[in-house]
Amino acid sequence: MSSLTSYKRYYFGRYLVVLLVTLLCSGCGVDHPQHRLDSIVIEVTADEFNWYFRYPGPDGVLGTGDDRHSMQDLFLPDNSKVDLKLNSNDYVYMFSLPELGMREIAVPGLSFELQFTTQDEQILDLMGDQMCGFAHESLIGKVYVRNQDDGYYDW
Amino acid sequence: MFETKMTAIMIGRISLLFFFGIALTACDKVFAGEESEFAKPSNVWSTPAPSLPEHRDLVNIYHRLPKFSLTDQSGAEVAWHDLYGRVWIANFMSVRCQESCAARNAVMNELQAGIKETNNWQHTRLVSISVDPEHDGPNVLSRYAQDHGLETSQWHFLTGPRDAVRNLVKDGFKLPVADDPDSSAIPLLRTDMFVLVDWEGRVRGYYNDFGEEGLKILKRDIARVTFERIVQHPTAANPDWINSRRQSQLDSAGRFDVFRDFSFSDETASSGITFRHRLVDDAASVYKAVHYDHGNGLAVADVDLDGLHDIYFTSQSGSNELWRNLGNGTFENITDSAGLNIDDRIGVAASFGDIDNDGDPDLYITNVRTGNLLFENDGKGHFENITERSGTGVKAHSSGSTFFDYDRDGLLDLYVSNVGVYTTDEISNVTIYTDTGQVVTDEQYYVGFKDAFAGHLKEERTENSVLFRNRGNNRFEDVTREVDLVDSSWTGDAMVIDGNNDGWPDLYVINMQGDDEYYENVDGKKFVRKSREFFPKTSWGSMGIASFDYDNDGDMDIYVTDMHSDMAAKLDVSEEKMKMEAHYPESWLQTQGRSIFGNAFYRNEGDGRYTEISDEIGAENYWPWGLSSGDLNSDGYEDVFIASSMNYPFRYAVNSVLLNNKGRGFLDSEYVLGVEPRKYGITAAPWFEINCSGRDAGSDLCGKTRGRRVLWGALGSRSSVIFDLDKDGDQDIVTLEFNQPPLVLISNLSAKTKLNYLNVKLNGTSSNKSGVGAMVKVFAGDDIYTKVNHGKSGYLSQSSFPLYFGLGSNRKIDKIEVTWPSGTTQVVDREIKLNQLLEVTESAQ
Repeated sequence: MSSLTSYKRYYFGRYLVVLLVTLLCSGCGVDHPQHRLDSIVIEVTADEFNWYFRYPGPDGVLGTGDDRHSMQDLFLPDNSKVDLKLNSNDYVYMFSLPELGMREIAVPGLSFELQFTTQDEQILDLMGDQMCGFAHESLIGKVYVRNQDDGYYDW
Repeated sequence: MFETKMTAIMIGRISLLFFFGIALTACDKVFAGEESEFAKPSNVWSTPAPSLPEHRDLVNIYHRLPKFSLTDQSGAEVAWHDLYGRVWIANFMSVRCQESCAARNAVMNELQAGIKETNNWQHTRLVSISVDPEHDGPNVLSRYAQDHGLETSQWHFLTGPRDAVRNLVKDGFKLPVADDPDSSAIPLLRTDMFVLVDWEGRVRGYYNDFGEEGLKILKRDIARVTFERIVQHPTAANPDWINSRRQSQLDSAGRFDVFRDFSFSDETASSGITFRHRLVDDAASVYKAVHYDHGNGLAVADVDLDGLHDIYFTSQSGSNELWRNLGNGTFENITDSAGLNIDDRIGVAASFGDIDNDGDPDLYITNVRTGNLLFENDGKGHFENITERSGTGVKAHSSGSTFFDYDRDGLLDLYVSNVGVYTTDEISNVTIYTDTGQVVTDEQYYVGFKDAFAGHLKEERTENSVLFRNRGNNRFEDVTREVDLVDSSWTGDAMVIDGNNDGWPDLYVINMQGDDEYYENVDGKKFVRKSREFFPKTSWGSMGIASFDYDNDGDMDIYVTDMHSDMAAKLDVSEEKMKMEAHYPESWLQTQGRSIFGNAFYRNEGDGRYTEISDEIGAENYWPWGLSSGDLNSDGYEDVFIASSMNYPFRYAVNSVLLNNKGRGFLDSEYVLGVEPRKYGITAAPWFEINCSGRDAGSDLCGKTRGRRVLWGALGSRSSVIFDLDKDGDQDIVTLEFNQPPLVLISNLSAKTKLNYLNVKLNGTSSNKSGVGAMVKVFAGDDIYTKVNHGKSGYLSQSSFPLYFGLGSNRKIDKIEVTWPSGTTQVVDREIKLNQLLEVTESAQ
């Protein structure tokens, strides 16, 4: 199945999440960090055939109240070292970035990492899969590598 | 699959009786000029009893039609299986009935025109059954359709012998039938009703109101029933590659220089075997990737010592069954009288072995967490449960079991392969798919982990396999630690080989999620792990194993099938003979780059070295489970049957038959030998049902849809045994099908060619009685045929039957050499007649 189809089906849900995140964050009055990131740790959790991404907020620390969230699509700062901490709440999943030739598993109770460095602004495919199960369109998304000077935190 | 099962529930609703009343009056005015002759249908009623729908979105299910075969307007046979996987509307007509029939056919034509405009058209058929078959031959029906301008590309006008039509109408459709046996001119009573038949041949509705409202209901039901089926994987039901692949294999058969002019036919129905494997829901309605889908084994032995080999089938839910061979290819179910009715366990596999050296096969049965069982045979096919006093009642996620005499004391010991903890403590009831829908049974099973497939990464889920030493008197002791055979692989089975040719049986342990292991037996006292020394690289997802002398060089080669590697990515049909290229990450594999992603074949070099040659000899196939070896064409070289295909929710894969090209490679032969395509080309079947207007509403599978949905899955085998089922001198194949009745594939080789063969039965004296572990060499001319009596007949199981030696064109046996487990070598060099069962008794040394 194509990611195009998945886009159509999940268009609404995804944008709702983005909208909520945006609303919440603007509600908290949180501003963008003023400095450029050269590395970022992101928590990736699979749950019921969805990817949940948790990012450090302006304080730069993951796991605090200002963390930011997205679903299905992953947003990365450009020219940064990225450390994805993969986890699952239920099944065994495969997280793949085919253009980078990278894949890693997400398993409940175990942590796996995927580390790489982003280049300039670009959009990559994110292919997710439940290992040996049904195909789930909700596990397929995009990776948006965003220019930090111009809108990384605008999503 | 198509038995009539009249599930009497309750007599239909008042409206139902009402419309049968109308039907009766409609019937008696049909045949112009013959009304007065018409017999009264007094004793011809059988009232259809529908299972009443729980919700108005659900279309009734009445009953399943029996198998039938009639002839259509073109003279072609149209049988139940031609309509299997279609939704069809039947009516009953006669050319001589003129206006009334013409009116009904006009309604059919209108229906056809309507459906033709929809996506359902490809799945729909119309069937008009002539109840005046003597008059309405194919030509008459063809002309009738032409004269009325009826489009017949998907509309069958059926005729046939009067009895066949009568039985179908009366017992199949359960409609009124009447005829006068004294007058062949009088047609059958005709009803005006239309009948809706679903994808799997079940009657779903009777309709006789052809007014606007009535037609609306009929069209609605057609649409609903058509909508019910979900085929998962979408290509499972009608794989478009089957025929082209068949053709290309047939085209390639010219390069075979081995005998292939024979075939197998699916004789399951005539065998009388009605066993049907049953699943737990983790492999169906709550499907998850858990080891339940690895399925079950079957084992063969002559349990009552009557000279015929009986079959023991295992099942996840429902009881395992023992089928007694009656000769002539027929069987009877003796599960109960044999004392083997076990319906309180989730079964996996079984092995026969003579544990007490009394000359009959005893039986070890493995189960999932519910306790393995050991039964002692009294020699008449009656089994006594001796689990408790034998000490072998392992409660684990057991899989294969292997009898062998590791300490060579003359008693068969037992190695039980345990997979690993793949279930939670949550208990659920098994539901089964029946003719009238999904039914909750009172049988229970442990629900699998959602992340079961990651078990090999979690130490706490390790479950060591167990070696039991036979102490005599049917008492066993666990010596796993004592002999250092502590294996924590995620293993389904083990194979006994003598890797270092020292006479002590070693163990090759397959691992379904990682490296295989090899343990060398040191004088029957210790096992030493020498895995990578002997086998530097092994299949990552090993599922089945066989050992046989592939190239007749006198030593045992090893063939391992790899299932889990075929899960790594979607594989195109054209890539099935290649290794899987898409690998898992190393974090998952944990094998430091030394895995083979597909089947492995180790050629024994005779000097303690093994060379992996799977790709060189064509040993790869797609989605394999267990394999069996046997000399299918009796040419003296062992051939292979690989039980394959994953079932729901994956695409269909063929069972692989590999003919041994005289030790130079394998020739793909499943189509050449008639094993594929499957009978009637059927590759998918109903797997389970969900109710999207009730308990399953809103689930992933229902989405926003309503009504009854029936999920269909691809057919697939798990295990097989190759043996001479009907004692005609050639090798037959019986499989265990996942969630289906078995395949009984009978070879016609003995009728096609003059066979030279010998069956050898061993009687140990100082060795174990059944000679398990003995090596037999048959010398004939320049050829030496070598076999080891290890009994590992197929996936996870062990059987007990004579060794079958095909001798090719050799008509004289020079001598036979038996190396017994006791260490003695015995030569039989008296004149040996061919085509017989030769018993060799171990001579005192």
